[in-house]
Amino acid sequence: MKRTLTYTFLLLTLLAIDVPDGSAQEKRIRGLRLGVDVSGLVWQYVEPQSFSVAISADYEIMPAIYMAAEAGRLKVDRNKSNFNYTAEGYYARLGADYNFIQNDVDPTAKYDMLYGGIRFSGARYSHQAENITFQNDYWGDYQSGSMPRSNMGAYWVELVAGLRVEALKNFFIGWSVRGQFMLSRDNDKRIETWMIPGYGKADQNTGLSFTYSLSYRIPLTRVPEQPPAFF
Amino acid sequence: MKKYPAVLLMFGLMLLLIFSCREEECDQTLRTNAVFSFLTIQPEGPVDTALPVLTVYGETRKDSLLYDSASTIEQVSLPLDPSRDYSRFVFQTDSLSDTVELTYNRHQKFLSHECGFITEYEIQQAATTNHHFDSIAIVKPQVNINDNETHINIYLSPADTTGN
Repeated sequence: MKRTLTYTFLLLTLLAIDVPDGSAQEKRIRGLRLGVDVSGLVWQYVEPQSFSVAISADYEIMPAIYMAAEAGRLKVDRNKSNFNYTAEGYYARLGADYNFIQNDVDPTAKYDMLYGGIRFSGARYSHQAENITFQNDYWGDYQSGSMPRSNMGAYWVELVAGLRVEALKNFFIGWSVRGQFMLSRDNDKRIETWMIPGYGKADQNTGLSFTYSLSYRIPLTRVPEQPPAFF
Repeated sequence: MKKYPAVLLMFGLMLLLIFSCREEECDQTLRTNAVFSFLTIQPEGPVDTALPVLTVYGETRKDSLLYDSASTIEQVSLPLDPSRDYSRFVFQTDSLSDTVELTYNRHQKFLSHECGFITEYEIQQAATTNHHFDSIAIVKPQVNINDNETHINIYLSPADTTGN
């Protein structure tokens, strides 16, 4: 409880930091940006049998270039008339983004991003089927045991394009669209994987996914403005 | 402030794309039936034969007929029992009836997330009583989903045949 209070206090302190605007033209706020991906909530509505949450972090390591990391969790619980399917797993993505729009055009949009990037992604997950029923109109349905849990992994690359705007000071909203390319994955010969955490429907080796993120930048340091490194 | 419409627009687009990939129902028939063909033994070899009238049911399911006094039947397609390693069927032709027994190995197979699991069979043995039927032979032991080819031949003696 005490720890929770400490963290809450720390968070409020960070939120309350208002960087003085004295030399805003030359100085640029740098800080770790932490976010949540709320697209899982939309999925929750469309596909109530799956539940996913994801968090993200990025940091501007040099002008226009951001290191980015994401992690999340997926749970699947499908009760169908002929079998129950459950799955769970985790994923992580690591990569970088490049911001194509330069910030000095509109000082109020100085940290907005129209970006492209790449992510290397990996997932560990397991699934199982229970209460398997073999439907037979004549002899009657036959229920027979279960497929025991098996553990699997997958690796893929994502090409990212997205938009992120600073809606309030240090608060960002943004979306991204991702093209996914499977590099390697385990296959369970007994039952196909339905969904891979962080990847989506597992029946294709290329995919398309979306994120919709809300994030907060912890304004820790200020550095002089510099032109972007490339382009 | 001009930037928010773009974000909202894309949010709408995202919803649209998500809704466009809804789950499908199972649109396959999940039939793993054994197909039986009738042949008559003639001096020149077996000849395809139609039985003039035929009733078929599972041995323990006399109340539920698979074929009910069907006429001119050359083939029957019968569901195998997924809960046992054998199925017995009673074939009634006119006043005579024969019991056919198939013994098999069962293989449980995942078909798809929409359709679930099915049982496929590998027939090991086929036997028949000899009231009307002469003999029985396995043509194709593997019974897979939606097979149409003959798995089992049932041979009749020439004297018993009224058809052909």
